[in-house]
Amino acid sequence: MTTPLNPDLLRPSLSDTGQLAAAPYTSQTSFFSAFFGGPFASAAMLLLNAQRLGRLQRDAVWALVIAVAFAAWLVFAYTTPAGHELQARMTEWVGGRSMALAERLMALAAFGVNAALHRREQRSADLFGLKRPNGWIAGIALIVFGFAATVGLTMALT
Amino acid sequence: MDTELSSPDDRVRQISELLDRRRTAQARVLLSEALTTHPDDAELLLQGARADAMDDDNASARETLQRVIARQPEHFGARAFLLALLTEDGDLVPAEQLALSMIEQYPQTPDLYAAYGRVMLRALHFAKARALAQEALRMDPESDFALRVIALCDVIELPRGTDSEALRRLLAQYPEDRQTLSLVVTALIQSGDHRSALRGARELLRSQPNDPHWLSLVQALSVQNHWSMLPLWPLQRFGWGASVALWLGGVVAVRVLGQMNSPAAAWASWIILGYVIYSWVWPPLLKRWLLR
Repeated sequence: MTTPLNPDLLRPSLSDTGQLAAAPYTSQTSFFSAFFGGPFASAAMLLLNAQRLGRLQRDAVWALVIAVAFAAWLVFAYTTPAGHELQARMTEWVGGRSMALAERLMALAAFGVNAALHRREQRSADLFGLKRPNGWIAGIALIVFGFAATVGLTMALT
Repeated sequence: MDTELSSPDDRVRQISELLDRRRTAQARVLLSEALTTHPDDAELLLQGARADAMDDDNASARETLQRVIARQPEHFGARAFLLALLTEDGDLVPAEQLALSMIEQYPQTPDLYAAYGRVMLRALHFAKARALAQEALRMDPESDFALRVIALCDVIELPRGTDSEALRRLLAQYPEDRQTLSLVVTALIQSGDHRSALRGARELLRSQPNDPHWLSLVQALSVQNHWSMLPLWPLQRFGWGASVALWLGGVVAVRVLGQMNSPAAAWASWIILGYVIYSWVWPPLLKRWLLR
C-alpha cells in the first residue's frame, strides 16, 4: 500500500447545500416542452436544468446559441428575399406547414443538445433514483412561453 | 441455535452470520436478548444498525450509529457505516465532512477514498469521483470497492455500460458477488439489453427472495420483455433518439407518399398514429395486467 498522490482531491466540494446539484427535469419533460413549445422552450428548459445542476454558467452559452440561432432563422425566413424564396421552395417540397415543421425540427435538434449536455446527470438521476421535480407545471409553462415567444417574434417580423 | 453462547463477541458473530443471510427477524431476536445484558456494546449496536438498514429503516440505523459514535468517537466501523448511509440517503454535505475527517485520520485506507468517490458520484461530481476511485485503486489494486465506484462511473459515462473494463475485472474476480451482479444488471439495462438484465435480476431475486427492490425490478423487466412489447423495441433500445427518428421518418414518409397522391399516405399516417398510441397506452396496461 502507498500514500495518496493528489492532495487536491481532498479539498471539500460540497461545503454548503447551495453547491449541491438537484435532480434535473426528466428527458420526457425536456422532449415534450421542445416538441410542443419549440426551440425557445427548449433553450429555457436547458437553463432550468443547468440551474438545478449548478452548471448555469457553463450551459448558458448553449441556451443563448439555441435562442439566437432560432431567432436568426425567423429573421432570415421572414424578412429577406432569400428567406422568402426558401420558404416558397420548402412549401413546394413539404406542403403548407413547412415553416412549422422546420421549427419543430430545430426544436428537436435543441432537445438533442439538451440531452447530450446533461446525459451523465440524467443517467445518474435514474441510477440513484433521485427525486425528480414535477415536470407538468414547468413543461406546460415552457410550452406556453415557447409558443408565445415564437408567435410574438413571427408577428413582429411579418 | 446454541443458547449456551453468552459473550457479546459470540452473539455478534451469530447475529452477523444471520444478517449475511438476510435473516433479520431471527437476528433481531438474538439481538434484543443480547442487548438486555449488554445494552451499550458497540458491536451489538452496530449489528442492530445493520438489521435496520437491511429492513430499509435507515433513520433508526443512523440513530443507533450516532449513539455508538457519541460513546466511541473513533469507532471506525460505526463511522464507515454511517458514511455509507449518509451517502445512500443523499445527505451529502455531512457525508463529505465525515469522509474527509476519516481520510485525514486514516490516510492509508484505500476504501475511504473509494467511499468519498461514491459521495462525489452521488453529488454528480463525476471527474472527482473517478479520480478518487482511481486513487484508491492505485493504493490497493485489488480493491473491489474502488472497482465498483469506477464501474458505476463507466455505467454513467460510457455509451454502453457493459463496455466497462472495471466491470469486467469485477466479474472475473468476484463472479458470485451480489453487488457485482447488481452492477452488471444496471449496466445491461443502461445498454438496452433487457433480456439479459432480466436473467441477472432473477438470479439476484433467487439469492434474496424477500428483497422488494429486486422483486420490483424483475417485475418491471418482465413487462419490458413481454412478447407484446416487441414492436416497441426501437423505442426501448434507443430512447428519445428513436422517438425523434420516428417523428422525422413519419413526416417524410407521409409527405412523399402524399405528393405521389398515393392512398398509402393516409395508411401511413394512421399506422404511425396507432404506433404512438400503442407505445403510450400499452406498457402501463400490460404492467397492471401482469402484476394483478
